[in-house]
Amino acid sequence: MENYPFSENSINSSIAFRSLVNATSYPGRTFQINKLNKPSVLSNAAATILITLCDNESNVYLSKEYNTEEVRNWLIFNTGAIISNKKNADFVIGTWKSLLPLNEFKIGVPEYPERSATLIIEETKYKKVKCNIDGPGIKNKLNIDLPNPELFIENNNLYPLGLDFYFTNDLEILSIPRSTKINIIKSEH
Amino acid sequence: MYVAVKGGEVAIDNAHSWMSEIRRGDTSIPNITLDQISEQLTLGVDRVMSEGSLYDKDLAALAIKQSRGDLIEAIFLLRAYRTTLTRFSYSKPVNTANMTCLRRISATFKDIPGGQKLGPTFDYTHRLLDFKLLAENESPISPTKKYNDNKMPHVLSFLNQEDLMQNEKDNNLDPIDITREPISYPTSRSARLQALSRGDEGFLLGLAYSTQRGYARNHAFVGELRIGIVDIELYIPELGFEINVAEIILTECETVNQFQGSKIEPPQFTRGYGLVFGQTERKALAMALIDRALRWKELGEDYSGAPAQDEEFVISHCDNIQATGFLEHIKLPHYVDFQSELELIRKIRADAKVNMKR
Amino acid sequence: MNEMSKNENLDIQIYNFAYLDENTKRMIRRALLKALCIPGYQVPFSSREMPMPYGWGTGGIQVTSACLIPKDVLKVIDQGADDTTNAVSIRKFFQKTANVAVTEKTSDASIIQTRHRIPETKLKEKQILVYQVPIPEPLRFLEPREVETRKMHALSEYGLMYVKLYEDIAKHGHIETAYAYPVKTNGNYVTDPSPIPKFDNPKMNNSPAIQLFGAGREQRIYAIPPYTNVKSLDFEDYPFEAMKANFKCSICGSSDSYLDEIIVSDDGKRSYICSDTDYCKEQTKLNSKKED
Repeated sequence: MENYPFSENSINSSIAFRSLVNATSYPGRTFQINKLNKPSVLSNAAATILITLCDNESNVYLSKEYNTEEVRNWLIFNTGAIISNKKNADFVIGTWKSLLPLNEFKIGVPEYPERSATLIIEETKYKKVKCNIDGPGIKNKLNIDLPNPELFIENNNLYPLGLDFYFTNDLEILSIPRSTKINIIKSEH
Repeated sequence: MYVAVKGGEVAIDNAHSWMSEIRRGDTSIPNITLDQISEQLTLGVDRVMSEGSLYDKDLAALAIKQSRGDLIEAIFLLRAYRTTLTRFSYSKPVNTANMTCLRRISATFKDIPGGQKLGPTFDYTHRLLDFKLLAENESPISPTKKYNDNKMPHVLSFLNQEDLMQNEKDNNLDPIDITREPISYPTSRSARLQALSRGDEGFLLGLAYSTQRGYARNHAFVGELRIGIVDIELYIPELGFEINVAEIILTECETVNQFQGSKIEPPQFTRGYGLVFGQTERKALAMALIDRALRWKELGEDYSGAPAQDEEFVISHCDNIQATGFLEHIKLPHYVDFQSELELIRKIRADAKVNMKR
Repeated sequence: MNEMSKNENLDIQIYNFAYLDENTKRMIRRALLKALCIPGYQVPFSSREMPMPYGWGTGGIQVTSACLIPKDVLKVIDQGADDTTNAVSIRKFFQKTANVAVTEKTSDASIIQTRHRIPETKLKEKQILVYQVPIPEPLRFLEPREVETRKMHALSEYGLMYVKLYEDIAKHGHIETAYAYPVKTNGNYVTDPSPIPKFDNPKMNNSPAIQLFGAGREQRIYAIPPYTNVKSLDFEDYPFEAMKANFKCSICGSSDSYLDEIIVSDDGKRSYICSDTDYCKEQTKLNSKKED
């Protein structure tokens, strides 16, 4: 049993999902995830998203750092997910740089905007730009650091189409859905 | 001061225990057994299995007993149970050409290879109440004959040979499963057929009848109706071959319909198709007629605005579990929305009176 | 142990935590997260047949089932009341299948499943309000075809809706919608708030809580995230107006809560009481404290 990602599947998956609901509902705020059994290269937070949401109908794109036998076997064995290319991916996992450019991922269609990719960004070392964000789920404008904020602005301009992002770091998760508006804070020189 | 009435929970418990008592009826009369239901109310069991989308005679019999013979309620019980079952695997498509037929008739040809076979049918019975059935322990016996295992190829395949019958092309796509993915419109024929096969017999009957009376009229000949036993085969990867896991009874109906031809197709006969669990021939016939009516677009026919041609109308309303749930939900309290209507109508009337005086 | 309680224990062992199996929950959970990313947009999901009839809250039940965690405190209301029959039945279902704590107090609940009302007590961050929705498509009664309404949403083509509201005004001087009054969510999608009285509409706007909507029979899930702009449709010269009976509750004396009208005598005499039974109880308590 101890090799399964969650010790008590239905209970732990429900707790994990609640963190995802909270993170998605309150963009830009950090929420905690519990530890689980997972390949060492994945963060707990990223592994939790995949385990909680993927099944044999999910196409997952793994960027090259994550496209290892260990990750693939773990994912397929535990979820039945299909390893896919960028174009068809429902879930995408990688470091920020490895996923650029973003325009190959699906953004949904006007009749079905939900048929779009969810991107899991596994890194904290990207070049940070100070931004403030606004939109659904954000009470007062929040200051956060984002990589290439112009890409998030572009993504928001596609609304209601677009990509939805989760930033993951060890036990932490933060979301930037397509509905979030980004303002770059001009650095004072 | 007003004190609100409480006690919903007790009321529900009491209502349900009363219902159980009534279900059992007079206890001096023996309890009906599931065997009795599955052996003697077979057509009811078949309907529950087909619309419940679960082939299990014992569970269908249990559902019928529990629902006091309300077949839609029994179908609901079976459906709710079905959703909790794990899907181990998908079987190979059944081959109805190899069916061991209990009944097989064609209205289009007098004599057919394999022969016509009337089988256990109500057709040609005189609908006179049979008072002999009042007597208990009747055990009717019918004459027996060795099963004629001549091949019984599909009757329409003979029209195919002359190219008079439209050939159904395999689109090589996996059929849609409407219990796993939500229907989006326009939908595919496979999704439509699944919805119709699970659909309410009464609704399908009425719609099919409407096509016969001129709403999207397309005269249907029963090319073939067959009822019989087919094998369910499962491919086992570890073994590398298929094994027979079950035998089930199916009813299949293929109609032959005229087709005038269109800009894109020369005149040819076309097919309506019905396939239903169990001995369910009224349903299979109705399904075939509606399937054919829904094919207008694919065949380049005119849309006459008939209900049976309207895919979204037919498919969204043929499921009796959805329909009965929503219909019956109006029994639930609606105090709040009714109150808001009350306020609005009072306000509108008051304003209207003021305006009238002016 | 008697026969009945033995059977109830059996039920719990047969079914997964909160009834739905993990695969079904995954499918619903994916739909819920996309719904939160696209406020007000109806995400199709392959709704399951539940052990309750369609139209009796199966959408809300599936959403609640996919969201529940063991330490949740669940409140279920119908018409604002905790003791209406269907609320009792749904609450019992989750007590049995998820063994969660239940409450009637809005402020103690972490998940509230509701039919036809939003509680009077202000909701808080991270509380989840699950709405049971009969017809999720606000344009359905203007255009019955899904193919057409989906196009209208895709193109933000809401002229038909405004024409209907305008015709009401021209005919009656009022918009003739008293409940399920359509809203625009995040400035984009016209959304059905479920059949809540329009009195409740303003509570949806900029709420700190998470609002999730489930329509089981119609196979749709949608969401309004916290702090989202939710505007009831109106015209500049005919602004939206929340509405309630202009009386006081005859139990707690409140004049700011939504009231149900009840007939108290054979000659048709009316009285008014809070539809939100928890709010009424709290107000009564407050009143008695004041009197002390």
